[in-house]
Order: sequence, then structure tokens, then C-alpha cells
Amino acid sequence: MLRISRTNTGPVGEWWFTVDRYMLFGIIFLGLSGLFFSLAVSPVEAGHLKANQYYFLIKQSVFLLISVALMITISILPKEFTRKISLILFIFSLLGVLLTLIIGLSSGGASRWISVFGIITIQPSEFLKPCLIILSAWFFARSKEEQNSKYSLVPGLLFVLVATLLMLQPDLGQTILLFITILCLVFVQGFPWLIIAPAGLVSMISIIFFYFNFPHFASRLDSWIEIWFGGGAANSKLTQTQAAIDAIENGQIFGKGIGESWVKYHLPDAYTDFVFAAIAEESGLIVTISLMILYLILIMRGLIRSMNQNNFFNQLASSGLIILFGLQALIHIAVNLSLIPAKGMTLPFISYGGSSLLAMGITMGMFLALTKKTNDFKTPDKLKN
Amino acid sequence: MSKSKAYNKIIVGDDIQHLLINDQKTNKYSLSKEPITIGKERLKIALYFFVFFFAVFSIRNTFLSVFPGDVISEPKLSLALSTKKPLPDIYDRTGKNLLVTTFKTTRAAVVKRSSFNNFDVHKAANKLSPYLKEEPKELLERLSSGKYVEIANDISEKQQYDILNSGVAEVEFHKVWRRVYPSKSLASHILGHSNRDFNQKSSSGFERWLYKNEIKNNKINLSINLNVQNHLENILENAIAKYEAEASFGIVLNAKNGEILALASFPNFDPNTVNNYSQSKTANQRFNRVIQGSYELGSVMKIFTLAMALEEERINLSDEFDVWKCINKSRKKCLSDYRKSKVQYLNAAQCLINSSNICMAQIAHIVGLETQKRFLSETGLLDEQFIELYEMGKPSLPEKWNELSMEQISFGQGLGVVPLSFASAVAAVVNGGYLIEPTLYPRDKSYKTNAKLITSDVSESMRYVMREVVKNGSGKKADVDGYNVIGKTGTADKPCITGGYCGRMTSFVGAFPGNDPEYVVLVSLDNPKGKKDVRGSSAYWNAAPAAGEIIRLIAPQLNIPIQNNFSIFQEHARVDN
Repeated sequence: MLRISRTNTGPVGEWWFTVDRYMLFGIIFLGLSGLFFSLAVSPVEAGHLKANQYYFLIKQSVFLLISVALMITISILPKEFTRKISLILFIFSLLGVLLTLIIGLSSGGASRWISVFGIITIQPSEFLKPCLIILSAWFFARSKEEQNSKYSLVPGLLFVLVATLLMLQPDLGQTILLFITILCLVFVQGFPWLIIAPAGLVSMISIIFFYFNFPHFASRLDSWIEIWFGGGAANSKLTQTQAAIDAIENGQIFGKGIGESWVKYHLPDAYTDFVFAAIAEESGLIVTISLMILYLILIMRGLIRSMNQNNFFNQLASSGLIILFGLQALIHIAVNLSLIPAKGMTLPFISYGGSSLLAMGITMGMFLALTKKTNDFKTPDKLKN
Repeated sequence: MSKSKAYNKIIVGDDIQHLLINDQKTNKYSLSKEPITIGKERLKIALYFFVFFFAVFSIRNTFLSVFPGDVISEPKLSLALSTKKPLPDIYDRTGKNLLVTTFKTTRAAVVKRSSFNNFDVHKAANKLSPYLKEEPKELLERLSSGKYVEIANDISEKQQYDILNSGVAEVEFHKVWRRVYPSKSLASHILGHSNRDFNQKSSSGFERWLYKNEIKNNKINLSINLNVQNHLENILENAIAKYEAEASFGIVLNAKNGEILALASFPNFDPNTVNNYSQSKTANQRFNRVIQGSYELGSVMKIFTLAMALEEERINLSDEFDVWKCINKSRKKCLSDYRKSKVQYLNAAQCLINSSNICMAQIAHIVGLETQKRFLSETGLLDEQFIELYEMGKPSLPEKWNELSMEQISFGQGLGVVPLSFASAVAAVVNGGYLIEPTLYPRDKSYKTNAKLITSDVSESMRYVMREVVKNGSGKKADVDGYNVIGKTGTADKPCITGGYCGRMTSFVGAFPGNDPEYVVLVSLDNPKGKKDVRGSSAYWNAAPAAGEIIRLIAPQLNIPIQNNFSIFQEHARVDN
């Protein structure tokens, strides 16, 4: 059996004793349960594509393996590396997003994917998210350290750049997710309440603006409103959200049993954006509640870990990453429970999707790297002036 | 810069907490709290937020899973695609004659799944067009229009084989249910028609009733008698040709329990094909005059005026009325009769037999406006009728129910009634006074209503007078030997849309056998004309003979024993002429 001595001072040994192991195993457990659920859900989509019914399982397993490997590798690297990695990755994925606008593969009215050598398709915008958060945290921390508020404008500019590119695809869901995460960062980094409140107002106004300017968005909001406030169930067509609700209701407490469900066949993206509903139909309330508790525990642990950081950048960056992880889960579940209008949002580590899995691996790898229990005061070189 | 200096002093192993507290103490009121501390506080808030939201989600999830509502997505699937037979077959009351049945046929569609990104529409259109007998250009247009394009419906196995062999992989075949009406247009206004998805949209009649009430029995028997229906329709259709009428309608109703034996309205439609034509083009055919229309039926309404006066004991059948009297209150001219009476005084019975408007107006005055209103509303003529069809029309009441309209209503004008309601009200007058509720479902033999419109004595008197109408009056041509047909004719001027009256509407309402009526028959013709052997255009010349023909044909089939005299009846009649 592999044993690592506490006195081992090599990178792996150091990593083993400083990294948040519970978090690490929690995430791996999440990924494995995602594999298990994809066993049930993927035949649906495989059937649509007339592919081998284990096609998705195999693909998902491979991506999960790569994702976990990425996560561990990044978390082994020293903390300073996260910034370097994210800067490089940010530039590359920004270029990638630009490419999608030119040569992107479109699906469902949006071009978000690019094909790499015609073998795999990746969604560069997924990788933008953690990088943008790290970079923003970097500048926020710097502005605090140097008492210069000019630095805190940089994240804003970066966000506007990224949001513009995302809206050109268009990918409203990711934009909103990033917006909320950046807002959280702004909040955590100590912005006065007086400014946070108007920001909320602006987001309200922008929702109204989107409603009247993006028919795609409006129709989704409408279908959501219809479900919540009734009104003509007879003439409403079967929407994604309604199908999700039906799936959850059909699952009841113990679920229909693995492979026994049928509403999932109506779910347009049972294996990605509506995986929660599909799980609910297959496995029932008990499993979905357990899943939510697992997510909550991971988020709480992550947040507490970030709280106890004694370096401002580390605190800000790690909390940003865990909030990104948490919000994505939150939005996904909220959409599935029809509490908010439908948005394409994957459930971290459970939804099928290579890009999403890899990006989440990178995100959590960075988080683990940043929250390692090492002495931080030697690292931020800017403080030594 | 003091703060960054404070950081500089820290070396590994120092008690940082102590330093931080010190720092906070010195800047107690300064805005720049230690950023890490602020971050900690705010992250705590974020944590509470997450806990809160997950709690909300758990509650929502629990509610959804523990108290599931109806799974809405299932019925959204078209009934036509269900595996089980989605709708019952419909039979007539004998259970032998099939009216509607459900068949399975095949539908072909081109479905573009997401994996078929390289689906070549041009190629597919070219390959499929010879088998679909459609121009490649048109087909191309259709195929490019959506993800799911239906290319053929109700195809045979041979066609399916051909389409399969055309080599277009995207074609899928679905087994679908289809309603078939073997008797074609027969009883079409009862059965209505269905659409391909079996929902309420663009369906009508009893079919719509089935969908709306989600009736999924295996088999349904209606109260219809297909033979009677057939005779009624034949005669009504012939009447249109014979009298050059614009439309006709009729109903045969069980006078004792309200079962509808036959109900027809012409022109009618073939439910198998009616959906191939636009709604507006076939509106006239689709219109069910018996239940959707409301008409001023004319003199037939006099039955109610007389029955009302007798029921209220305001007159006797022997009371005499001056039929030469000039009634010109709020009129330009005196009220006139269709044919002026040769004698000045007629008793009440003769008033109905001679169909005197002047006499009826006088009776109405004796009874009074309020009583007329109450009595007519008791008959159900002023309300919407209920039967197992959703197309029910409403009666058209006079704008102002004043003395003038009271006079008009007494002889059948100024009040539009739904023919079905009218027939069931007449049934109540002749069946001993019991109000009945028309229905399309067969009723038990023991069925009995207790709601009374008039006493059995008055009913008997009415039967006597109505027998006289058929025996010696305007209904002569409706008489059938052996059945003592009773009834009343009516010739009404049709109100124009532009105001005033244009054209005529003739009706005969009757019942047989006369001493104890089992069935009520109503026949109406819209704007019949007189010519050659048909000398006049009044009900005497068209509606009455048509009704007589119907009774002659259906009475033996309905097992009505032949009676040769009306004697039992005469003894009780309270009349002395």
C-alpha cells in the first residue's frame, strides 16, 4: 500500500499533507456518481444519435479521468502557478471564443464550440470562467495592497470584454453566471453596500432589457412564468421546464428505478442541462436531496477554507472559484426545479460534457492549490517592495 | 502605507491574530478594515446564502416529489399515437349499427435528428417525389420547412414499402389511430367530426364531447336509431329538392323520456372528409340548425299560448273570441290572420285549429305578460338547452318584452327558439305535462321525470285540439292512418339581417300516437317555394306532408300499435263543439 511519510518533503508528499483531501475525494466521488448516472441517462441520447449505448459512458469516463488528473496536477503546483496558468489559459480561451465566432459549430441557435483537428469539440468559454476569476482576484488584491483603486477597474474591463464575446455567441447563461460570480468577488473584496445595492438594480433592469430584446430569452422566461402562474396549460406546448418538472414529479420519493423512467426522453438535454431532473426521475427524492447535501457540504467546506486564508489574494481567488462551482450547481438545480427560467447550465462533475468537466477540473485544481495549508507570506512578491 | 509595513514585520511563526487585532483596534472607525477580515465576514454571508438556497431547493424538490401533480407531458402526446385504442366505437341504440370506429393507419414523416447534420434535402426530395406524387420542388419546400415534416398520411403497405425503398434514411413511419365514419354523412350532425390528434380543436359534435370529457369506454351506444335517422334524412333531403328549400332540419324525440332518436340538419357534411375543406367554406354544412340555430318558428308557438291559458285556468276551450277585432295598439295596421276567418267568433280550440293570430293576441292579453314570461321560461325555451354536444345555441329573446312583443310571441314571432328546446317543450305539452330533458344516451325504461309543466287534463285537451288540427285543419297532410297524429303547422316570416322579414320558414311539430304520444316529430323547411303540384309555400304544403311521410315510415319500426279511433280521448275532452 502506498504510504506517504509526513516527513516526505517532495512535491507529492507536501501536497498530500497540505491539500484539502476531503474536498478532493468529495469531488472524485461526485464525478464517479456522475458516471453512474450517465449509465442511465446516456442511452437516451445515444439512441437519438444512433450510437453505441455506452458511447457516452466511455467518453465521460475518459474525460473524468483527464479532469481529475488535471485537478491533481494543478493542485500539486505551487500557488503562484495558478495566476500564470490562468493568464495563459485566459488568453488562449479568449482566442478560442473569438474563433468560435468565426468557424464555430452551431447547435441550438448558438455557436459555442470549435472542433480541434476534427476529433473533439471544445467549448472555450468554459475555460474562460475560472481564469477570469483568478485574474480579477489578482487585480482586486493588488488594488487593496497598493491602496490604488485603479486596479479594481481592470476586472470590470475584463468582464465587459468576456461578456461581449459571450453575448455574441450568444451565451446568456454563462454571462449571467460570470456576472454574478464577479459581483460576489466585488462583494467579498469589501465593496461598500452602498454600491452593491445599485448593482442589483442594474441587473434587474438588464433582465428586463434582455426580455424585450432577445426573443430566445423572452420565450424561455414566458414558459417559466406560464408554469408558475398557470394560464393556459392546455395550449402551452411542452417546454423543457415542464418536462423537467414532470420528470421530477414522476420520480417521486424512491424514483422509477434505473432505466425505468420515461419522461427523460422528453427532456431535450437529459444528459447535460437537465441531468438533475433525469436523476430525480430515475432515483427519486432521496438521491437528489443527498446530492444537494453533498454539493452544499463541498461548498461550505470550500468557503470555510477560503475564509481562513490569511492572504488576501488567496482568499479572494479561492472563494471566487468555489462560488463559481456553487453557483453553477445552484443555477442548474434551480432551472431543473423550475425556480428560474431555463438556462443552459451544466451540473459540475455530473453533467455530461468534456469541456465542462475539464474546466471544472481546472477550477477545482486551482482551488485546491490556493487553499493548501502553506505559509503564504513568502509568496506574494508584490508585498515585498 | 502603514499597513503594508505591518505585513513586512511579520515573519514565520509570529502570532498574526494578535497583530490583526491590534491593527483593528487602532483603526476602529476607519473605513479600511482589514480586507481579510471583511472577506471573512462577507464569505460567511455567502455561505448563509448557499445554505438558504439549498434549503429552498430541497423543500421545492420535496414538494414536487411527494405531492406530484398531474404529469402534464403525457396527455400532450397526441391521442392518435397512443398504443391502446384511444376512443370508443359508437353504435346506435340497437347496438348493431356502427356509427364510428377507430382504425390504425400509417403515417410517414421525415424527421431530422441532430445527428443527421448532412441531410441532403434536394436528394431526398428527388428520391421521394415519385412515390408521393408530388413535384420535387414543392416537396423540397416542405422538407426544408422544419425538423419534423409529415409527408404522407394513411398510406397503404405498398406505399410504405415504396417509400422505404426510395433510400431516404430519415423517413420514419408511425402507426396512428384514425376515426372512420362508415355511414358517411348519416347522423353527421350528431356525431360531429374529429381531427387527427383527437383534441377539441377543430372537432365537433359528440366526438368533441368525448375528447373534452375524456371518455375512454370501449363502446358507446347512443339513443339514435339509425333506421329512423336514415328515413328522416332521406325525407328532409328530398324535401329540399322538392320544395326548392334552402335548408331543412328535423328531429324525432321520445316524448316520454327525452331520448333523441334522430336529429338531422341539411345541408350536412361527411365527417370523413370535412376537415379537408376550410371552415369558412363548409360553415353552412357544419351548422347544426337543430341545436345551434334559433328561429322564430311561427304558429307552432300558439300551442304554448293556448296551453298556458288553459293551465292558468283563465279560459276554457269553449270561450269565444272576436277574430275580426282590430288589434292596432302600437301598430300601424290592424293585426291580421293568415287567412281571414269566415265567422266573427271562434272558440279557443277553433282559434288554434284556424291558427288565428288575432285570437292568440287576445288570449295573451288575458293571461298577461308576466305569466307568459314565466310559463315560457318553465318550458325551457328561454334558456340554453343542455345535451351531450357543445355547440348549443342560445334563444334570441326580444330586446324589450313589452305588450307588443307579448302579442307577437303569442303567435310565434319576436322570440327565436332553439328547435331542440322547442321539440322538448312540445313533448311536455302532449305527454301529460311532464318536462323532459333531451339526451343522446339511451335511458332506462324506468326513467321518469316529475317536473310538471301543465296538468294532465290540460295536456289531454291540448292533444285533442292538436288532433283536430291534423284531422281537419292545416296539418291534414301529416295525418297517417292508424296513428292519430296530432300536431300544429307554422309558417313564419324570416327576419332579415337588414331588418324586416324576408322569406319564410315552415314547420310542423307533431306527435304520435295521438292518445298517448310516444314520439315528437319536428320538421322545418327554410324558404320553401310553391310550384306546379305544390300550390302554396305554407307549412300545409311542405312541412306537414314531409312530417306525415316520416311518421308513416318510422311508426311501424318503432312498434307503435295501430289505433283506429280517437274515442277514448274525446270523452275526456273539455270541449263542447
